[in-house]
Amino acid sequence: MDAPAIDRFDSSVGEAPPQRTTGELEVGFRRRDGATVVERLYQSGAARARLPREDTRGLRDVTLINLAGGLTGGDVFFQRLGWAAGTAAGATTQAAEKIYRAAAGDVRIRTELAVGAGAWAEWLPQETILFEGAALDRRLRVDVAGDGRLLAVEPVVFGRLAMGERVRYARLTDRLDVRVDGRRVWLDVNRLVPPVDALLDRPALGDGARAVATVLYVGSDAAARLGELRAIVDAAPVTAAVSRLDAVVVARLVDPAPAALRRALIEVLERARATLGAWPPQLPRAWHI
Amino acid sequence: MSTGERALFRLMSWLSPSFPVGSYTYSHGLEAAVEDGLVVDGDTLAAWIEDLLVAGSPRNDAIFLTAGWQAACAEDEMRFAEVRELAAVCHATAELKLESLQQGGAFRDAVRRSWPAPGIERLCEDAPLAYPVAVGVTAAAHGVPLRSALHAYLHAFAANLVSAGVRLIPLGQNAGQRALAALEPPVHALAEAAETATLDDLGGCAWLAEIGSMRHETQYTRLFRS
Repeated sequence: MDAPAIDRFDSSVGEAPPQRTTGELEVGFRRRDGATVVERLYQSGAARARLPREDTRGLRDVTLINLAGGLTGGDVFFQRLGWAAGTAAGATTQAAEKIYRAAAGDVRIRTELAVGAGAWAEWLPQETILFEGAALDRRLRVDVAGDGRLLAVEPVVFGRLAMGERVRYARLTDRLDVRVDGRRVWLDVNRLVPPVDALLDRPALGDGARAVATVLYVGSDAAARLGELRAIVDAAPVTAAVSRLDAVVVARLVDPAPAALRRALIEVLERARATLGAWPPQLPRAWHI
Repeated sequence: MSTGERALFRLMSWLSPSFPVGSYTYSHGLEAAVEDGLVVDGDTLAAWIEDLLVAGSPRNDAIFLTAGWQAACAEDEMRFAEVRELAAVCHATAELKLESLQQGGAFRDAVRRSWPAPGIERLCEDAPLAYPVAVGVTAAAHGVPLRSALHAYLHAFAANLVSAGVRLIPLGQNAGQRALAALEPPVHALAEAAETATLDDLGGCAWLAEIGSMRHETQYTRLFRS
C-alpha cells in the first residue's frame, strides 16, 4: 500500500518518543456499477475506519475510530479521504475526540479531503473536546474539483462542562484551507491561547461561548445556495450567521452550552444535506447515540 | 529632515482618514454590533475594538503587514506572491473581505500615482491585494521601519472604528477620544507582537464580531459598507 509517510508533513515528528499515539488512515471512494464503494482503505496505528453495512442515508458512510480513545501532546494523526468523480459518501467519527492535558508538545491532526468532479462529500466529525491544558494543532485541507461539492463541519468544545472544568491553559490552532480546482479560495484559522476562558467570555470574541462550530459548503453553486443556507442557519436557536467567500458558504455557530450547539448542528446539517443534496435529512447514526 | 521625521510624515499621510481609500465607509461589523445592542457607549466601544486587536482580523492584518514588509525588503518575489495570495483569501466574512480588498486596491492606486518609490512596482498588478499587504510593501519601499508602520496601521484601524462608533451610537467627540486613548496600550502591544510574528501565528476567535459582520449583510438600514 502506497500510504504517504507521516513525516512528509512535519519532519520533527520522527523525533517523538515512542510511547506516543500515531494514526494513519486513507480512504478512497470510487464509483462502481452506479454505486459508491470503498475501493481503498489503509489504516495503521490507532486509526480505524468502520464501514456500516446499511446505507440508510442514501450514500456510502464511513465511521472513523480512534482506538487510543483520546489524544495528548506529541500524538499525531494523519487522515486522507478521496472522493473519485461522481461518488457520494460521508465520513463521521464514532465519538467525540478528547484532547487531554499535553505532557509535551501539541497534538497534531492533519486531514486532507479531495473531492472529485460531480462528487458529493460529507465531512461530519463529532465534537473535539479540549481538556484543561490541552494543546491541539489541527489542519484541514480541502481540495474540490470542478462541480464537486462538500458539506463539512468542525465543532470544538472547551472543557468538560458537566464536570465543571474550566479551560484556561489550553492552546488551539485550527486551520482550514480550501482550494477549488487548485486555486486557493479560503483560509480560516481559529486560534486560542491562555487565558482561554477569559477570551471566550469577551463580548466580541465568544461572549461566554464554550462551544463553536464552523459549517461549510463548498461548491460551484455556492452563490446560488447562500440564501437557502442562510435561512437554515438563521433558524437555529444559537448565535450564528452565514456568509460566502468565493465558492465557500461558511456558517459560524457558538453557544455557552455544548449540548445546545450539538442540537443546533444536527438540525442545520440535516436540513442542509436535504436542501443541497436532496438526501434524506439524517446524520450518521453516531450523531444520534 | 531625519529618516524618522520622513517616515512619520509619510505614515501620517497614507494612514490619514483623508487618504483616498474610503476608510470612513467601513465599520468592520460595528454597525451590526451597535444595532444588536452589544456596543452602547464609549466603554463598550473601546472593549469591542480591543477584542478585535487581541483576537480579530486586525491581528491577522498586522501579521500580513509584517510578512509583506519583510518580503519586499528581502526582494523575495516568491515569498511576496505567497503572502499576497494568502492575505487575499484570509477573511472571515464577505464584507470584511470587501473592506480589505477595496482599500488595498485603492491604496495601491493612490500610491502608484502620488508616492512612487523603487519597489512599489510590486503593487502594480491586477491581483487582489489585501490592505495590510499594500501598506507593508509601500512602507518597505519608502524605507519606513516596520514597527512604525504597524503602529500607524493599527492606530488608523482603531481611530476609524472609534469614528464609526461616534456616528453610530452616537457618542460625543470627547467620549470618542477617551475610547481611542484607552486603545493605545492594546495597539502598542499588538504592534510589538506582530513585528516578530510569522504566518504560522495567524488566527483568531472573534466569533461574535464575525457573526455580526455576517448579519450586517442583510441588515435593513445601513450607513456603512461593512
